Amino acid sequence: MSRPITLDRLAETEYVELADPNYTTLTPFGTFYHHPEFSKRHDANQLMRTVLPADAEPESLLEHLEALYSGTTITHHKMSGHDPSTFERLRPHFPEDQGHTTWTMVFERTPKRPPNPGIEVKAVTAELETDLDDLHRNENGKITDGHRFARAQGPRVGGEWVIGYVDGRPASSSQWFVVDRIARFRGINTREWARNRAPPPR
Amino acid sequence: MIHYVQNHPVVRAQDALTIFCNDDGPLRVYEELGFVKRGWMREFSYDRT
Repeated sequence: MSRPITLDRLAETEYVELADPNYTTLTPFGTFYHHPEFSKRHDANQLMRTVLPADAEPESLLEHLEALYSGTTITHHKMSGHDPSTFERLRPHFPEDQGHTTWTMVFERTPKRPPNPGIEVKAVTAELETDLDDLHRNENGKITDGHRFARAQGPRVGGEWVIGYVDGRPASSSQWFVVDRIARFRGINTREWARNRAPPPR
Repeated sequence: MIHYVQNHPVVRAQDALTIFCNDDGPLRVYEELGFVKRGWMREFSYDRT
């Protein structure tokens, strides 16, 4: 019998995906992650699993966060977590535009939207890696930092990258991986020309 | 692509399949694909420059 699908388990997929344990530090308020090879990426430089203990004041956490970043050149300071009490208590300290919510969703119902027969999905093997990287180039032809970061975590998190082809052209990509018996599907990156071509819901 | 992952034998052998979606993301599409909201993560960030 499978264990309950708790928010702790769902959120852990996010923490494991992002945080290379080689670059993390345990703190009294969570796990501080600072990846020196990706010093401009916010998700690679943040306090994660943030928890404000019941007997601590928000100010003490915020001061601690400043101290954690003081040894870096990073000016964008970030904390994330899934403890409702912590973020409710922190909320008065931040304007609306400095907060962000991400829904954790679980596949539980029969899909109303049918598969798109015009898309051929392939698992990425060595010969398809060029297609994968080409889907993540910026206007200057360089592979984006976000993709380089995600790919760098691949050997650690495992799973599989997939590419969707439309008329033989690489149109979209994504990745899935498993953390403690929870499969996590990342968002889909789709080329502009291939968007909104899915069949309507049933 | 989501159908491919939903039907992958390794994925089906796990306890659950999850996807995360920002508030301004394609929530409705994911719901049409069988996903249900089960909680949220939160972040605060600010720039010191």
